[in-house]
Amino acid sequence: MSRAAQGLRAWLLQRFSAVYLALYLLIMPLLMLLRGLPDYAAWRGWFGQALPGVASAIFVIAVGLHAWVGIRDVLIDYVHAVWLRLLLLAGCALVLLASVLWVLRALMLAAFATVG
Amino acid sequence: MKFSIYRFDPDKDAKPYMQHFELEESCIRPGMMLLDALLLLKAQDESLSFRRSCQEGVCGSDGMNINGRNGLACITQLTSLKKPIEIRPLPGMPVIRDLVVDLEQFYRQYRTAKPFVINEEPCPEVERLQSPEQREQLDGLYECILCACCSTACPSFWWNPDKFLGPAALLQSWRFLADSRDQATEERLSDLEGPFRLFRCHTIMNCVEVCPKGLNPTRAIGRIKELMVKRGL
Repeated sequence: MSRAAQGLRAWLLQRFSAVYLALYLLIMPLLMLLRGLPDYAAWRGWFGQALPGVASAIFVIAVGLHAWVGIRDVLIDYVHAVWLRLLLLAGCALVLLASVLWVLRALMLAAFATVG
Repeated sequence: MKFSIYRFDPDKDAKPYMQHFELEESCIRPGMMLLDALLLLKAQDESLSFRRSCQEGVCGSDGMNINGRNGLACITQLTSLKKPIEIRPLPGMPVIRDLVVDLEQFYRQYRTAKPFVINEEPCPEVERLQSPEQREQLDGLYECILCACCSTACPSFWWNPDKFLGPAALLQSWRFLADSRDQATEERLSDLEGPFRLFRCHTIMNCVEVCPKGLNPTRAIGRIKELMVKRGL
C-alpha cells in the first residue's frame, strides 16, 4: 500500500462508508417495518430481491471497510511492536474478510432461492 | 489554601510523589493567579521547580496540569480552582524535575512542520505584501505561543509523540499552508501523508478544550484534510 493510501484514502474511506452505513441503518429498518415480513421465508425472499440484496451486500462490504480502518487506527495507536501489530492486523483482516464473504454468500443463496 | 504538587528529583527520588503545601489565607489577594501562589510556595520550599517567565500568558513557559486540565499558571485565577489544588507536570512528557518537563519531542515535531514561509522567488525590494483578506486567513493560527498545553493533552500525541506531529505543530502546518506568500503547498502536504504525521488525529478535541489562547487546532487539521482532498481528487 502506498503512503497516500494509508493516510488520506483510509480516512476518506471511513467517512464515505460511515455515510452509507448511516443511510442504510435509517432506511432499511423502516422498509422492513413497512413490508411486515412475518417469518424467515419472507425475510429470505425479500433479501433475495435485487434492490435489498444489492443494498445489503454494499452495506456488508462498507461495514468491513469501515471496521478495517477503525481497527487499524486502534492498533497503530496502541500496539507499537511491529511484528505484533502485523500479526493482529492480519488476524483482524482475516476475521473481517471471512465475515463479509460469509454474509455475501448468504445473500447470494437467498437471491438464487428467489430466482429459482 | 491547600495544594498538592507533583515532586520528582531524579538525583534523589526513586519515584515521584505528591507533596502537600499550604498557603496562609492572609497571603491571598483578590485576582491572584496560580503562578503568584506557586512563587509564594517556592519561597517556603526553594527546591520546588517550575518554569515561568513573562507572567502574563505570552511566553508559554508555565504550562502545567492544574486539577487535571492543562493550562498556564500565570493566567489561571486561584478563585476559579477547586481546592485542594492539584498540580502536575504536562502529561506524557519526560519529567526533568518537579513541574519541568523535557519538550524536545514537542519542538522536534514543530520543526517537522517547517514553520517558516517558503518562497523561491527573489526577495522583492519591499515586503511580500498581502491583502487584508489574505492576512485574515492567518487569524487564529499565528497567535500560538507553543506552550505545549494542547499537544500534551492529546492522547494521539501521548501514544506516538515521535511520529504524530500533534495539534500545535499541525496548527503551524496550516498557518503556513494558509499563507498567501508560501509556495510549498505540495511539499508540505506530501510531508503530512501516511498514517502517522497527520492522520493520528481522531478529532478528540482535547487541544481545543485546553488551549489558553482559545485557538482551534482541530479546525486547522480539518482544513489541512480538506486541502488534501481538493488537491488529491
